[in-house]
Amino acid sequence: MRQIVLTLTFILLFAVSSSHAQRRYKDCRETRSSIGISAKISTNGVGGDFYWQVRPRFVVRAGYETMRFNYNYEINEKKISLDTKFKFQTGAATLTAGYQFLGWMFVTGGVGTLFLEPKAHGVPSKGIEYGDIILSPETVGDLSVRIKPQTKVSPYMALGFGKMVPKRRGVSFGVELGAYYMGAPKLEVNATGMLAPSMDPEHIAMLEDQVDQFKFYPVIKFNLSVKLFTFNKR
Amino acid sequence: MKNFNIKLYGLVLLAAACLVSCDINNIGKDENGDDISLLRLDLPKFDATYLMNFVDENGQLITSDLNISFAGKNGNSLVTEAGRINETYRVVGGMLNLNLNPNIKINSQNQIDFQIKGAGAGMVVLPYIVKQSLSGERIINVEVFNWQTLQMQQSTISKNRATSPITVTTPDHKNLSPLAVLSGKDNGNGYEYKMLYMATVSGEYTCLIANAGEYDSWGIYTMSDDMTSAPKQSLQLNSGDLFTVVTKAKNLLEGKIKVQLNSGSKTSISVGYTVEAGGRTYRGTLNGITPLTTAIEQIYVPSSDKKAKITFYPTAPYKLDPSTIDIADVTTAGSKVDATITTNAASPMRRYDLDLIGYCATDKSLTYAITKTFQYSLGSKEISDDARQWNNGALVSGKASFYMIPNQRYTFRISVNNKWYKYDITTNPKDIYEIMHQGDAAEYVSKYEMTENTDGSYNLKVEITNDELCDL
Repeated sequence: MRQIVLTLTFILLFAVSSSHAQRRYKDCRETRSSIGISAKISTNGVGGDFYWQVRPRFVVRAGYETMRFNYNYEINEKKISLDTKFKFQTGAATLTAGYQFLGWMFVTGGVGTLFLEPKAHGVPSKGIEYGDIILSPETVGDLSVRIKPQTKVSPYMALGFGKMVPKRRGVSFGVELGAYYMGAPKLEVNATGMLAPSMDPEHIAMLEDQVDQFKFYPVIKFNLSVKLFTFNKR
Repeated sequence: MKNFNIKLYGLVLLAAACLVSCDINNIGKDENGDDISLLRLDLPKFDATYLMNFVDENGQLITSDLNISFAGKNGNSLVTEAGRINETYRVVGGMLNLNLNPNIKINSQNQIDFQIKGAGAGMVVLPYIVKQSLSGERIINVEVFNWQTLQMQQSTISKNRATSPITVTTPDHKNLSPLAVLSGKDNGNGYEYKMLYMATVSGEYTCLIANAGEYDSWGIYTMSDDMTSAPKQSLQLNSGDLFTVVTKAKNLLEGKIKVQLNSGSKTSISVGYTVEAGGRTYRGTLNGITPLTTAIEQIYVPSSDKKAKITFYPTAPYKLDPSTIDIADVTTAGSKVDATITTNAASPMRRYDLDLIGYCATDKSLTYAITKTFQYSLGSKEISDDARQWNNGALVSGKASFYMIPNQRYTFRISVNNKWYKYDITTNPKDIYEIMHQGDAAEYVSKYEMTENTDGSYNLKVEITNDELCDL
């Protein structure tokens, strides 16, 4: 449901913006070019870009973003309680280009080496009963799951709101809504002891089917850009 | 500009389609809407399994009921396949299959050590100590005596008593006549059983050995004593107590032989062997899947003569090369033999690679694959149960390879929780329909597929449903 609302909002915003599409961008006569830096915070991490405003509406950016966080939770399944440490790591080294087609709207796209690699490691919090004995957590074994994007280099596409880079003033602010295409995620499962069958290729394939639909990594990005140099193009 | 906007609309709609296409409501469900599991759970793996055969003097399994118990360091470490621990195990048919507690791992720092003891109506179980320092399956033969046989020996014993160097005196200082001569039988811990006695009155019994200087240790063990401690020369006994006189030779060393059996492919084998060392002959069987790394342990040799000779006796159509190997010193860590198993090309037998999966009938969530080692036997269906020669082997993770003659019927039995479950196996495709329609809802063959490989061997894919698996 949340996705649907988000999508409808997305479409509505675009529809409203397009009603003004015929309006000419007033500063089209601008011929100045600039170089600057951006700080960014997004669902794919925190980082920065170097940008080159090649033309007034066309910007090339190279940047880096990264994010890591840990989260502990418990998986309870088949008589087993697994104390699970979830380590989420993502980020990207990006090379993108953007086009400011309206005064407050732009489109941007490019490629990124996506560092998305969530992983979880679970160890039994206690033994499990088996007949008259309690099988120790070591006997039960442990389980590690790592998710990797299918593609090493991911295309990125986003629609932006606000200014991609500063125009007159030295600072600008923009928001991007978009996604990396990472392909169907691949799972790497390692397990020991009684959990070893969780590594069966057949079982992994079944789990991969579950995440197969997540081919896009959604991105909401906030950019704060600062112009460093401006030079005239003649 | 209009054209550009149409493209952009398309892009946005594509992105929207991507977002809504992720149907998170179906995550964690299979195509039928049933919950799927992140974890796949195996049965616990046992570092060691023990097949204990209780046999008479001729090596035949005892058919009378026995009550077996365990003592020693790991006496409480033996469990059934279902993880049950009993103080005593009732053995019917002379076989007991137990496993090492899966929480215990065997390594050089943790040698397994337990004593088998027991009793039965009119039967005497000769206690035996098991030591194991390498994981794997052990087949242990424990000797059991029938009272009637012992009584028949009395006349022979009486004749030889005068020449025996052992004297046991009763509390009233009379010489006690033995029930049986046990010379040549070892207790697994370096001691040799000499004589079996029964206390006639309560009190202190004393043992004397004329040539005591020849032994490192000697004395009396009752049937319930902890045999890891040295025996005593005198002991308080109650009337009716059974006891043995044992000796341990001087400068006796314990050795073992590491055995590596290879073959060109993974093959389920059962190979008999004898080890001649220190004037004794040790007999046993090696079970497993090649390449099989195992050890023959508890070989005792005098320090003056540490050599041994091992001879393998594979069942048809296997051949072992070499079949006899001399070992210079069984007490060194490098005491190791390698042999390669081949098959006799002239044999009409063909290799069948069995892939067996077991299901619990009443609870489909317990559809465990057979992932541990079970004991199996295979014999011709054409021969009656009494006369049938069984080829034994280990079913490891549901897989076993064995040889059969095409277009024949065989009986395949598998030991689960110390009970044999029999199934018909056919090498005749025409019989598969019949095999599939045997049994009842609690125990039946739900799949039987036989395919021939280019090398003349066959693959057998069999699925059985058996309620016994629900308890594992």
